[in-house]
Amino acid sequence: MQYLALALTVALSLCPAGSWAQATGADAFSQRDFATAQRLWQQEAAAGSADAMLGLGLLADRGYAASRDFAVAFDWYLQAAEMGLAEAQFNIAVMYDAGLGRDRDAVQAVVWYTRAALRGHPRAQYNLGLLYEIGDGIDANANLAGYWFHKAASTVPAAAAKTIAPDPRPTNVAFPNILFARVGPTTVEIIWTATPAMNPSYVVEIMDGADDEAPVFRRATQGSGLLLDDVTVQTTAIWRIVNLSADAADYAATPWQGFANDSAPKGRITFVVDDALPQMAAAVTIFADDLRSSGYWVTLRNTPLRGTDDKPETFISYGFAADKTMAETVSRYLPGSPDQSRPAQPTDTVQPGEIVVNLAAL
Amino acid sequence: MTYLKAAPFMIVMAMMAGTTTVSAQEAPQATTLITEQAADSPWLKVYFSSGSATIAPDQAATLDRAVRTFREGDPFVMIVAGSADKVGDPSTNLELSLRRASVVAAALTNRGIPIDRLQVLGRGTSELKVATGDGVPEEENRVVEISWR
Repeated sequence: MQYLALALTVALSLCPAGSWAQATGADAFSQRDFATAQRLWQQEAAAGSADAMLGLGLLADRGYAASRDFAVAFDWYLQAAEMGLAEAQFNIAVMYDAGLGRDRDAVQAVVWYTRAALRGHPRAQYNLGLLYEIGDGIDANANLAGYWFHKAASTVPAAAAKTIAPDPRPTNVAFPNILFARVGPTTVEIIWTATPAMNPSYVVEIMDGADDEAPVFRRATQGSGLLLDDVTVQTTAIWRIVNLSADAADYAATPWQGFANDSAPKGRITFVVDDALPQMAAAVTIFADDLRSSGYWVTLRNTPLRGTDDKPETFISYGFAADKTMAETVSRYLPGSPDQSRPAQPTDTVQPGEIVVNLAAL
Repeated sequence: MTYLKAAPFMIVMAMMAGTTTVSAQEAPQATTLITEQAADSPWLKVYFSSGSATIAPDQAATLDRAVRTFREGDPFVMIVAGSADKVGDPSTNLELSLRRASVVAAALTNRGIPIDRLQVLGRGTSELKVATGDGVPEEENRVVEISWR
């Protein structure tokens, strides 16, 4: 028994109380050893830990390890927030929202609440809903308030209890106000806001490249932001936000964004040609080059759409009223009678900014 | 009455659902501890009607405002302290102040504040903002104050 006690004493003396549990800043912090937490977190932060940066922000925010310093807290939170840590993004938002250590900035609060909200932070989603509900420093927007409350509803009971009447006027389209964007190389994060009169239906269009071969992808949302963290996007990608009308017959889009936006197209035109008509195909190639030099992106397909009687038809399709002018312009270039090439608006398949020209024998 | 003099306020820790408790002894040992006082901000005071522990609709905005200042981070403690004016029996007022604080605490947890961050206090009539004689109704004393440390 004495041997056992001795062995235990030796073992304990080799392992000072508490040291085993302070391998990390978080361990020291949980034991309220703030000086050690600060030292360890500084090491971890230097190695790139966003959690350590959040912890250092917390120490400064509350004045645990030294005197309270909102500016230092903000800087640490911001470093963690820029690395994508939702809790830090939320704290940055709160400091902007409440005007802690700085003047209140409601727009920045919206940006940072939205960044955290896009990462699934329920309180950010709720607070963002509140800002849009009451319009505190920004335009109130019942549709966006309802969207973000709905996102938070499963974990924040007060969000679930909100009964936001949809804005009765969401009939207009206008291009959204872009507040934040980071596109590529492996992330797409775009945040915008909108007026209450805008129909709450948005599509982010990204063209991964700056020519007419670039793949296009689209993501639709009824909210005010988009986060994709599983994508690869070239630095030459261009993008825009499209606001669709309630009947999906019209849209408004922001100007194309991105470093290469000066090469953005006036519009995209797809020619569908029957390759059994070589003269027509040759003519279209010349016509396409002409349009390209005028700033359009043009692609050619060689499978014509057929009419109901299975005879080749000539027609121009546009998906949205906003593109009707472009369709009419192209129509005037086409050979043949105006009746044959009158633009028509189908209900599907044609995207914003696109027209499809189906050419048969004229 | 004797009891009230001996124990001017009652602390009920995380009284709802009986989950993790936060006690005064566990408070951070920082030398520069600063509390964000409710007195500094009208947004952090919830007012009640006489004899009532029900949150009026116009006071819900105060609660929404409060949660918009509560940052993420482990040891942040939100203190929810209820009081009552000196109309009525002192022991009833103590109980009333605690009920007021409890409904505010419940409203805060409904807004996403973790329950283990809350200290809920009923001060009865022991630390009134406005000193009055017995039986005097006073709106400033029928409040729940929300503060942090």
